[in-house]
Amino acid sequence: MIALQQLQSCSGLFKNKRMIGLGFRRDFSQELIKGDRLKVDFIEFAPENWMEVGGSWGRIVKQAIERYPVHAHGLSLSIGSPEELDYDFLGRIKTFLNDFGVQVYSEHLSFAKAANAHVYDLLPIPFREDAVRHVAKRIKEVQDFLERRIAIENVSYYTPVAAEMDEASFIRSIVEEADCDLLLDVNNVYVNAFNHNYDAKEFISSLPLERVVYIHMAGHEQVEPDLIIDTHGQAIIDPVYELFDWTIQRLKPVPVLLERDFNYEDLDQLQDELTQLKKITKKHWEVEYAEA
Amino acid sequence: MLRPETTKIQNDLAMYCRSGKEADIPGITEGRLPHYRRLVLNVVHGSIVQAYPITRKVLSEDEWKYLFNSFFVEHDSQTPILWKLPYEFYLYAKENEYYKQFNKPWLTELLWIEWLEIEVHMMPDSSHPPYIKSGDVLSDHIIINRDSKLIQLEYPVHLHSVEEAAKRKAIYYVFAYRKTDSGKVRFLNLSVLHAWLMDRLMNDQRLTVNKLMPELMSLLKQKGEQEIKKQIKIFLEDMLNAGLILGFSK
Repeated sequence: MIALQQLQSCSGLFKNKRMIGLGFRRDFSQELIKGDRLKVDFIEFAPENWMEVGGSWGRIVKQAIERYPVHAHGLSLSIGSPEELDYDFLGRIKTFLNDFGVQVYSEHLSFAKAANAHVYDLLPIPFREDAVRHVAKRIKEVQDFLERRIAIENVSYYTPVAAEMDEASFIRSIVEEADCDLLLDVNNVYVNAFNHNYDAKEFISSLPLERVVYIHMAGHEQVEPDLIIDTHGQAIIDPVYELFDWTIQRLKPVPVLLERDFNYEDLDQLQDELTQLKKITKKHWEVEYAEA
Repeated sequence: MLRPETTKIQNDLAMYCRSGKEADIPGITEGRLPHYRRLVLNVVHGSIVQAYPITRKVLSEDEWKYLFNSFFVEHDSQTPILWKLPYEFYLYAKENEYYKQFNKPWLTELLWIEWLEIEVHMMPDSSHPPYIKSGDVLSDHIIINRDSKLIQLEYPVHLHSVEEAAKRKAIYYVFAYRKTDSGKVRFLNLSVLHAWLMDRLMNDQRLTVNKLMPELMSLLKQKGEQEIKKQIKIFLEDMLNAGLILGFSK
């Protein structure tokens, strides 16, 4: 009896993690709240866009968090910055995470502030030993302050910067030294593999996959024969779906998020992408992690 | 700890994104850095343009480009929250007196009023004491909508085109407030008497209009208290209908 209960509990856990979500954006916030044209299992907020907001948007956010489980994906913590951590901001993030009941909080393995200014984009950290130690220490400090584990996302980048090691070693070293979780952005792997001419599957295999707690999927745009920009403005392409299909066979079930930052006039297309992601996760994760 | 060289590389990369000036960053793939500058520029410009549609429209293309580019290159943006960056843009333009450079005396106030609309629209909900909808505006405690800002302008950019506003330099009091039902922001132009009254009532909830009358009359140094009370009553009832006054203390 006890064993059965444990099995059911375990199965429930996996069911909760086998969720497909969508980044919460103003333009389709009402459709998400209604849940008829867009059917998702959870939503993701960028805290920077929604913290300390009242009025009509505050009401919409409340409706959304009443309806869905919530994850949060930060933009401005600048974990790879050479500057001091912004503890005032971190305190506000902590309040947001607690108030919104956020399950997974993730940030980018990049920096967005340097030379005493935010630049509001994700700049690549030099792949170097000193940066590994620096970033790992900051992640530990953030985890201690927030009193929770955080997940760090592999970012897309368009040029290496003063690299002294490869990207996979850089990511692996940081998450292991910081003892944090990993948000695996499959599209970013595809983009980087294309831009920097490496094998995406080999790259993924070399990551500490046991630490993956969350997956991001998105579309991108090829702007030059040898350059893809991670725009989040297009539909996911088939090779990225294929890489996702291959990847999740090597992972335990985790939540999967579709990111779309613009070009979302066609909600049916967005729903098609969500459905496709659901189909792939069901194919692999419902067999291996079947419900009791 | 980061090596000074790594810190410098990161600072150089961030500065390149802002200035576009060639930086000696090792190990870069040729032709790729400009994409970062373009992406950063697009994000920041998008944020500023979205916040200041009127300012952008009334400045010439050259003026806008000059103001924006100066801000982008010179200003060290401090807020981690992108939608609040336009506030820093307003402060930057004010502190550096672009209104003088462009000979557009209304410029700072136009930026302020455009920012104010965003600020009031987005500001966290204020807590209000319990209130009822009906009451007497003169004798009861009035609950004023605290999702609001009362400001003073020299140019009535909230009422007129900038050309017209430039001709009407005076003192204007503007109440920007957020409607509790729709969340929309409204601007109300107030006389000095009404602005004083609202300011006093908002900052001391123990006051009523009747209690304030002796102080008001001594400030006005004129007779006719009943006539003034009558005008105030009409004004406050209008404010009640407009949603700037929420109701009366329970």
